[in-house]
Amino acid sequence: MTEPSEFKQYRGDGTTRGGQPAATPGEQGRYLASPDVVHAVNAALAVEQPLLVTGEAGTGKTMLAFSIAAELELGEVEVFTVRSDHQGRDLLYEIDNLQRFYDAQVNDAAARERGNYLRLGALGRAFRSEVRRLVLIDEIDKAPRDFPNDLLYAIDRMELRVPELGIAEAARKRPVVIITSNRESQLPDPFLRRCVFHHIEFPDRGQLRHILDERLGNLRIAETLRDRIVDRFLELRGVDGLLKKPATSEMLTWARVLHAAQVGGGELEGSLRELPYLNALVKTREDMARVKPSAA
Amino acid sequence: MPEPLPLADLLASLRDQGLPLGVREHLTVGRLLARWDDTDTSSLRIALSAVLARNPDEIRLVRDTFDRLYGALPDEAAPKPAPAVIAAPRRWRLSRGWIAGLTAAALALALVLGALLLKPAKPPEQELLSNQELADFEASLPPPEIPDTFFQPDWQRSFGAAAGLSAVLFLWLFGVRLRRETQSRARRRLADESDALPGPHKYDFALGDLALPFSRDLLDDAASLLGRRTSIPPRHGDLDVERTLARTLRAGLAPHIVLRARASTHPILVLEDVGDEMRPWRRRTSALLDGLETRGVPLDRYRFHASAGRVFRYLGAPPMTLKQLFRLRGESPLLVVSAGEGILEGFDGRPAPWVEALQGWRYQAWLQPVTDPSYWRPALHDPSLHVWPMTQAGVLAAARQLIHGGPGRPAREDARAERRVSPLDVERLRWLLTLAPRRDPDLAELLRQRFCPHVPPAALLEALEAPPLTSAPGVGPSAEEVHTFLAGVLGASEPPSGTAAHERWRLDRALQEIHVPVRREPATRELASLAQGPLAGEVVSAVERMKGPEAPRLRKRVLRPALAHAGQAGGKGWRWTWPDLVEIGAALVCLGFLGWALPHVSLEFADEVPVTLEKVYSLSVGESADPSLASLTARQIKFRLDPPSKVDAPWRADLYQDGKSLQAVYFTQGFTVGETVEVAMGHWYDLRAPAGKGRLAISEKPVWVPNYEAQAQEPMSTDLSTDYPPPTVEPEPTPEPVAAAPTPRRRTPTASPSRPAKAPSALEPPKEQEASQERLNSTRARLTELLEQAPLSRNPARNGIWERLQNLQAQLDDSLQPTSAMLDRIESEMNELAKNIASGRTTTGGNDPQAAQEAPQEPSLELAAEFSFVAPGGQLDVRVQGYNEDVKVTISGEGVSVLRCGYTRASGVGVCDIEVAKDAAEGPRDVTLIYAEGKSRVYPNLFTVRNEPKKD
Repeated sequence: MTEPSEFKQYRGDGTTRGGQPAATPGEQGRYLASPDVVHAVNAALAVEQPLLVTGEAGTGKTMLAFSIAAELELGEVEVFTVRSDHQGRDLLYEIDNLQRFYDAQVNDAAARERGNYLRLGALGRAFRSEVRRLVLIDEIDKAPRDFPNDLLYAIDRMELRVPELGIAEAARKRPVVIITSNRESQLPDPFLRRCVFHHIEFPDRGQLRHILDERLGNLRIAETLRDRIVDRFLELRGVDGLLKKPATSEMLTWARVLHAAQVGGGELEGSLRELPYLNALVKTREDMARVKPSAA
Repeated sequence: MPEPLPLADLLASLRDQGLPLGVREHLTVGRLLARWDDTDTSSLRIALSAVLARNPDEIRLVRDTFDRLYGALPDEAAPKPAPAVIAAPRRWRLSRGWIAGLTAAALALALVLGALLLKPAKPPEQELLSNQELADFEASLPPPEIPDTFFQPDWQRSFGAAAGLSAVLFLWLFGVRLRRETQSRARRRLADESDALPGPHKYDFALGDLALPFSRDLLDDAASLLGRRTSIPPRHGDLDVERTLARTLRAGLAPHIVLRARASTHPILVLEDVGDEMRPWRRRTSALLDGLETRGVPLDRYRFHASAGRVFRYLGAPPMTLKQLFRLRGESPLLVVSAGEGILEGFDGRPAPWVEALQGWRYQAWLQPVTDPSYWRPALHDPSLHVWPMTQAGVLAAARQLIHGGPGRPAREDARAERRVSPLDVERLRWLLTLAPRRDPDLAELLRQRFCPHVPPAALLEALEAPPLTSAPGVGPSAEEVHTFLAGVLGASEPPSGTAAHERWRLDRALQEIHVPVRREPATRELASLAQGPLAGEVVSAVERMKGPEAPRLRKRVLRPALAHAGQAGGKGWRWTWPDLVEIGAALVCLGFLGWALPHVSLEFADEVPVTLEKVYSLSVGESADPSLASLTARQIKFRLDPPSKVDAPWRADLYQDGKSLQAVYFTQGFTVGETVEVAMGHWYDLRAPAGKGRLAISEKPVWVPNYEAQAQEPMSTDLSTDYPPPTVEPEPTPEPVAAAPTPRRRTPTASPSRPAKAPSALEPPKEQEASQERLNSTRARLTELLEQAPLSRNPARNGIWERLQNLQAQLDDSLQPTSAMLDRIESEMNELAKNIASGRTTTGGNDPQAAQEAPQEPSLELAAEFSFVAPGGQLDVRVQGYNEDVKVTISGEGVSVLRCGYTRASGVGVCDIEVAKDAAEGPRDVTLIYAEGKSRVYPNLFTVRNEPKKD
């Protein structure tokens, strides 16, 4: 375990500052970050800018945020999964007017006060928190065009402003902001200028084996089967024209299925169309037709 | 002077390469460095790339620039390999560059080694040689032997071999000719086959992913602006409600008003350039004009080919001049869309007349599809032309120009403020185009949008014109990534099967997929299949151009069937071809040259035949007539026929030096005296000339040209006493003048005594010289004998027999010319020491060596038996025995003083310079030896000063 310093706050070795295991929630095993990721995270922490992480689906963008929160002991991650109808204001707060209207109809006294219907967003909760929090803004590429600029405005001001209620509170602790995106090209230039950028490459063969070992180590999958799983998985990803290439999570699912069905490494030797439980990897009818023409 | 910002050079370099970095980035880097507490440069490199870059391309750019400025770093650590997987042994392959480099290095090494081996060895250090020895040495060199046989060319054998080689050469050249002819026929045959395929012959790329060059909003805005140009007053119906609502909703309910483009009484007159330079921008131009028309902007479109002197409405329509057009549409606003290809006339840079004719329109604007003004022709920068780049701001500015006659806002500079094209941008696009199947402008634009969207489109102009790159520029996507993408594009571009276009599409797709590892095998099979079809020629060309580690294997698999098919195609047209003059001429030249040259280069093609030697020449040596310095090392040789009656001797002969041919000499026919040749000294010379009928005319005897250098200089002697008659000092004898040392001469290394005998004095009579030399040699020999017998004793008193013998030998060695008195003294001392050796003593101070060592040290001084004057004054040899500390010598009496005393403690031998004034009083002198503080010894009347008159 390397010693933390002022710059090297995040080590990416799956342990907290106290040396305790920093397991990410809902997942078996540790999240092990590459040196590039570690330096990018520490650079973002040093310059106090959001970290924009791009990469193919399944490369661990979201898990990186959980890993940072776990290692730096930032508590529960404030997750904001972006939808196409979100506005920048939703990050900070929303006022549930519908509930208030309903309450007013039933003559609830709470309806007299608009503040009772203030719902803080992920960033708003982080601003009001007494401890430093991590805010994960997931899949920002799905957001409308003005969303990134609104987000920047909020982060630059570090202030929770609710004009409807006359609230203007400065952030008590500056949160760590992690933004994930599948494509960086759709984001506006000013937004990119204010972010620390890192692109996670899809893991190579060795890294995939390592991920299998780390995530499914409890299943004790034989090495030969593990290697065949990785080889066939990469081969399948290389098929031309797939609408959705299988990601790492699909490979883990496939490995679990193969283990549960007690499939041996020898049964993965045939052509791609003969692979067992292919539907754990291929998710669309068009892709299945391309891999397995008889299925069309 | 303010301190430079941290890493300012890195940021400046990145800015030069097109990265938009500003003050914010400087501050961010400063903030990063303020927190930086690591010493690892690679970590800083990664952190900086994360802070400054906005996409993976820029990350690579930042890291490459960092490496360039601050030194490359070792590669990042590779992920740990799986323990169960054993990596296949890598087969090392050397690229052509490496092979060329290694070959050059090997050649250089061979040259250096050859130079070292062939370099003449440095002659060993040679010792000086006296004139006599030199003459003896030279006389010992044997004269060269003249062989009585010679080699006569065997022309029959020589020309026979040459004929064989010429025939081989002829057959080889003729074979090459036949092979080329066959290949040419095969190519023609294959071309006929491919031409016979049904059309179309080319296919179009399906570029569905190509983004529109202009956004809908821009076209809406431009259409709104241009629609206002009307003579009809505005009405409420001008608001496009549907689009206004859509824009307002998209803007999050921020009000946006879109006015409906209305029909104008004067449609906008558009002059659209369709010349060659507009080819890359055709899609861009069409998108703009079609988009405006779709939005209801009335356009009256005319076209011209580079020069707008003549315009036409559509292809094939009758052209009209710009004046005629002005008469028809003079009231309409004019929009020119052109790259300005025909703006200049002739080579003197004058604007074409039609440019001036444009000024007739009141409202006019020019849209230039090249967005970077640095690529524009200078004439386009003329403000009166109102040229705008076809960017978002430029299109709107041009629209305002057409409405109001001025750009309004944004200002001209704002409309042109697009990032300039950098050399790296062009390199990146060139690399992408190098990988593309062909240089299609739309495909190039698609590659730009896909792999380097921040590169300005204007870079396409230069990239499309530039030749392909041979290597990647270092930034940007990998070749495999681009090939995968292109294979995808080609996969969607399949033309109808059975056509020539379909065959070419198959070839292009296979050539892309061959670079994608997972598709390599099927692509190889596809190429092999195509190689057996009508496109075999194109397959061969493409595969032969291919580079990379897979290329040799691919050639092996593809070229063989392709060549077999080509051979079959060519075989059908096989026809005998007569050899050309090239093959015949080359064979004849080879025959003549080799037939003549072979006997000269190899004895295999010559017969050794006996000759009769006839001595017909005589040689004589004389002084060189050359007054220059060369005369010191050269002499003349004169030739003549001897006897003169032999006038049938060859008039051309070869002068041989030490048995090797040197040069030719000529005798004028009818005269018996030949020319005079300057030759080097120290060699044997003779003449030889073939005289026919098995005779060889030679010189009577070889002549030796000796080295006269030593004899050329007169022996020098110096008699100082005749020039400067100093006062005579005793003891006798009178100092003898010393002969000058002989001129240094070199000789070959031979075993020589450690110290050669000195040359006798030139002034000494020869017999006395010989006697003196013999005595000196016998004394040396006896001294050496005694030294071998004497017991070694190194006592501090230095009175051992061995030390005293050593002193005697040193006296002999140090004295340039030992006199007889000195030899007498040395011999007497040697006799005394010989007695001591015979009695078994080791020292001369007493019987007990130990007692001798413990005895108090008291030096004894002894003057050398002779000294020589260097007037005025003299040199006095002193010898101190039994003492090993410094001593001081003083001489009593006026007129005599000691100038300096060089005294060697180790050897106990010293030389003192004394000065004797000319007017010094005659009489004896005492010498005082001061050997310790307060201790001295006086040697009374050691020598006498005597004045003598100068001898004339």
